[in-house]
Amino acid sequence: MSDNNTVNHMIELTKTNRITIGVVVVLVILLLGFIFMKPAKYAFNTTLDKEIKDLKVTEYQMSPQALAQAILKKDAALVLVDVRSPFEFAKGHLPEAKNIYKINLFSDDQIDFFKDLKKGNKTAVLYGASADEANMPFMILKQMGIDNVKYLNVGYEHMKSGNWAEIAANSLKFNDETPIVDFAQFISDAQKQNQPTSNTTQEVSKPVGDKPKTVVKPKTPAAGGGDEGC
Amino acid sequence: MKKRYIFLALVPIVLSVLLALLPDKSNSIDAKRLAKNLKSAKYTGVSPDKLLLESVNDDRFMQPDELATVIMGQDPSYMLIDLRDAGQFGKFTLPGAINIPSDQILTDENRATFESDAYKYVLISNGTVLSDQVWMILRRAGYDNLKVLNGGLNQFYQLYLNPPKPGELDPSEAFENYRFRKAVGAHLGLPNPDEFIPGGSAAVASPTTTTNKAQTVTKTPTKTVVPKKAASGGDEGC
Repeated sequence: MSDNNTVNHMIELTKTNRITIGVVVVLVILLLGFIFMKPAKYAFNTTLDKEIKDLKVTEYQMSPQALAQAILKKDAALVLVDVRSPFEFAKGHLPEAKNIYKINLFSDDQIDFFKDLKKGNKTAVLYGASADEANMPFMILKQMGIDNVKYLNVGYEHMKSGNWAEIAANSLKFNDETPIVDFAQFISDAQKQNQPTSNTTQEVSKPVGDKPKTVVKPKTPAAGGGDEGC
Repeated sequence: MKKRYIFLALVPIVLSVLLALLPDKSNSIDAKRLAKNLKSAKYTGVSPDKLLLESVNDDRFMQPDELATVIMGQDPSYMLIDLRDAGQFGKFTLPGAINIPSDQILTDENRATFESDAYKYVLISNGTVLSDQVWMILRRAGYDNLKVLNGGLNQFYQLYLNPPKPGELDPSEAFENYRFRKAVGAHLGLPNPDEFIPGGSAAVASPTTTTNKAQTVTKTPTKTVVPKKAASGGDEGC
């Protein structure tokens, strides 16, 4: 009897041993997973609500006039960042601009650069070939909580001349969002014009209807001609 | 022996407690949508580096000519969303566009608009910058199928109000583009560019070119029929 008991005992022991070993292995794998897990390095830190409110904030835009004045004054609180490709940058860039190609924005060096600027109370002004090119990296940085950034609301071409005094004195306001002309006016004017001349437009449309008929004609000679030939 | 069983039982319990205590950094959009706090959410849809890659390529842009073909063809799979305020929207917009001012894009009602997979949403404002910013916010909130009108209404209307005239040596596509743009302009109710441009020469010549265009359009389908008949006629003859 006692022999039988010990055998049973042994079987159960090996069974539980296997289970325990299995569980320990699983735990070790989980632990290793936690150790080597890369936390998301870059994350958005502002709320969507704030971003929607910021859509109307014009202070994030930098006008060419303000930038030209800052360059004339040699304002050290502004740091220019060129988001175009290194190739475009090499062809020409604004004075003392740092080239951070927009594709390479996410590296520790670049993000640290922006964070250091924030610590030093400096503002980065992003510019590209157009306001829109600078807008995208600007938005991403701003949403990550790096809010000491602005974007130039004109493209590089506009500033290329380097004639800062002239650019600073320019009275034109640049904002992508302002309508260039009153298109509503154009449309209503055009409709007024069209009302008396509506007959002519009908005349114009008539020949369109007639001409397909003349297009049909060539078919029959072509087919008939083929028959005659044979 | 018993200790071992206790250990085995404790492991899943401890793990489940840990799981419950893990911080909420999920990217699950649906969870965020259900929780009503989407607007105050920080971790949502797309991560910054992925969004940067999306923003760097131009796939999101819709060119004016593409949009014009959508408008002319009344393509039902596109929804045009005018992001300007109601005042500007009332004055003029694009045919078929609906108005969602940029500051109201994430209200409960308007969020429902973006939920459908059946549409491609074209974001429209006066320029590109605002629609692009709204595009980014909507992408971050996890919405898909978004397009941005490149150049905005400013460039759109300018292009059809005053389409660039092709030179004599330009390829025929340039002329076709020009005629297409004039036709779009007429569809939108804009004045004829040839009459409108100061110093624009033959205002009389322009209608004939438009009719020419109509001809070529009507010709092409009939032309395809012609060779068949001619061929059959040839067969009969022989």
